[in-house]
Amino acid sequence: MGYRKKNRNVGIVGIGETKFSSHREDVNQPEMIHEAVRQALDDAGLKIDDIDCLVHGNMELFEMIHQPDLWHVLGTGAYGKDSFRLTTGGTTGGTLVCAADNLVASGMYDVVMAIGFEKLQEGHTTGGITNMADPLWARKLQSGALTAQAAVKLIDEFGAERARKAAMTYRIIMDKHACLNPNSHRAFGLDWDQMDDLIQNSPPLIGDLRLIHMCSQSDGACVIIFASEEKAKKMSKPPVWVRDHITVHREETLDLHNNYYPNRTTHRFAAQELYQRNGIDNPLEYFDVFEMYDPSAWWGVDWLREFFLLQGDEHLKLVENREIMIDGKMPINPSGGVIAANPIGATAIVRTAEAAKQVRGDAGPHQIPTPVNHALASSFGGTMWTVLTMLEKDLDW
Amino acid sequence: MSEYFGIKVEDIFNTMKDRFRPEGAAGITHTFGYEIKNAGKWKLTITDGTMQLDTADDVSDCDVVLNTDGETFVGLNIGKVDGMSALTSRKLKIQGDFNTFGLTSRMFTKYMTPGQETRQEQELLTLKKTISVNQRFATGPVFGKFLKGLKNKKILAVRCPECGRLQTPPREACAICRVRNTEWVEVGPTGEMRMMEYCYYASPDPLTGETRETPYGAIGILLDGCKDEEVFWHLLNPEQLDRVKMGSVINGKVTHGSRLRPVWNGKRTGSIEDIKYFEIDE
Repeated sequence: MGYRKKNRNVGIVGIGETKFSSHREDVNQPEMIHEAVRQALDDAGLKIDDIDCLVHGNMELFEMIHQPDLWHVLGTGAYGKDSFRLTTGGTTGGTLVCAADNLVASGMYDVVMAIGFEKLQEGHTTGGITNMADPLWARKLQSGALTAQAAVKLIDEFGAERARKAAMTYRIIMDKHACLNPNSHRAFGLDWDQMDDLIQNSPPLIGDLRLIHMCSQSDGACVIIFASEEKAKKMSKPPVWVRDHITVHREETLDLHNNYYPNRTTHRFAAQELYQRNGIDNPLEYFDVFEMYDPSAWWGVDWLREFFLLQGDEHLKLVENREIMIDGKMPINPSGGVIAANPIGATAIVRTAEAAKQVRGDAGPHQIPTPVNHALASSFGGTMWTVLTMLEKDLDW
Repeated sequence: MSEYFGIKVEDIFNTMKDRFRPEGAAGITHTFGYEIKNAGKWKLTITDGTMQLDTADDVSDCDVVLNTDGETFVGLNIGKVDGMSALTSRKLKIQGDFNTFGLTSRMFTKYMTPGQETRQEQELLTLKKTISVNQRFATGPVFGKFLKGLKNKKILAVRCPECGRLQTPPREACAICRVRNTEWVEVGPTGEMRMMEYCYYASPDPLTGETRETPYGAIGILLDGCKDEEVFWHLLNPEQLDRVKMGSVINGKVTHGSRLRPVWNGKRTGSIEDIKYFEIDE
């Protein structure tokens, strides 16, 4: 894979995040986006005139608005500025981060604002996602973003009882994190004594994927401002450095229902490449937090093995021993993750935003109690897309 | 009696008669049970536009029963608690058909605290539109050849000249080896069940716009002549969802799934519909 080191360093200097909810009928799309834009500008101590270029992203099939960036100009402040629009499915937010990072690193722009948003209540999410599939074959068969493949695989490999318990443990931990995050869309207050009831009685969606396991459909927006090292160092808050990012995707997955392991996952492939070129031998030791794009509790458990390059049941043990809790050895999604809030075009940029806040140390009630120097964020989308982003507190690599 | 958001559970039930909308209950005949923790049980009988509400010792004979606590119940009625969230977190449980219970929402006007009835809430305007778009997709020669095969009850696959893997439905090139697929082979039509998505959730069928009938099974079939990850994606006879066994290959350990065969449609047009579904081959 052709890869070159960055032309110059890039820092995250401003972050804005709306409250996520099932209904934002009190505002229209540009107004909702403006809330996050205003927050990010204030956070960075910048004015809209200081922004050189904007990158705007969502999934247009969800709200069925073509060129939404035009409607949104009043909310984004893009009038008269260079701007780009991206739409790469669930990965959109991750791609926004990659693009903004590259635009600044290249030397073309000094300050770039990345905007991810979605108002899922204004369209039909499952209908939109189903239209992603190959129109001649897969559309007939695809059930939106819902799939129980990870559940089938985990149950086959580790037995139904252990697999179901691990998935529900993961789910309850994510809810406990969501309860700490004031921006969560869903924070139920689940507790350990509900385990068996939820495993048995939560309404099933597909196979062992139940309503409680699945992510929400949310409204919300998230904005990150990126600046060159020279500019970033002049700003009031210490910047969070974007060390590296990687995007991996594969062909149309007409053969995904194969129940075959180990198979070719983009997650493991991306993780291997990223760690190798950055000289990271033990990612579990290196990173202090991981904000994972986890669309369901089953995927969350299954993907831990891929992202951390684990073997056998090491990923299950991390969950079972609750090492992934906010005060554990490897905190996963102190924000509550995607199951707690999923405004799709914003979801993946929220992962980087939340990871950056953890590095800055100002995440709020869901701040990890121990120092955070190295953070990892992932994005997932399409049939099999992975984006991984590495953030650092210090410019010392 | 406890109050939630300043309202007693009884207040909700005692005002039901005044809030009843006969036009919303027209054509509906059902019994609805309410079990509210530490508050009591109520039975609502709807008979085509009329209602009767009674306290009850046992509501288990009702068509549907709602089981929850006082705070969730009052919150739902005044819009402070989201129904879907309450259901997901199991604070609210419904025995019987969920959709039947949903009918109650149009039978009653919203509960208002006495004295506040006249204070009009600010109305939020929303526009609702349904868009329908006709689409036509070109198959290209490779997919076209495959669809033509289906017309003749043949399932065709392409083989990669580099790695040898089979793909069906076929693709123009092997994306992994980046070479054009040139060799065609016939596979199946019988095979072995690998994985099934046992779908309870009724998603829309993008080809028809209709909501799919549930439950149904979307399956990966390892057609005879294929190996490893080379599965074929189709549907299972919905009558046989609970009779099939999934197969797998996990770290080299092979588990065989049920044997399956296609059920061909009598009239075949060269589309995915030419195979109605797969069924157990016994």
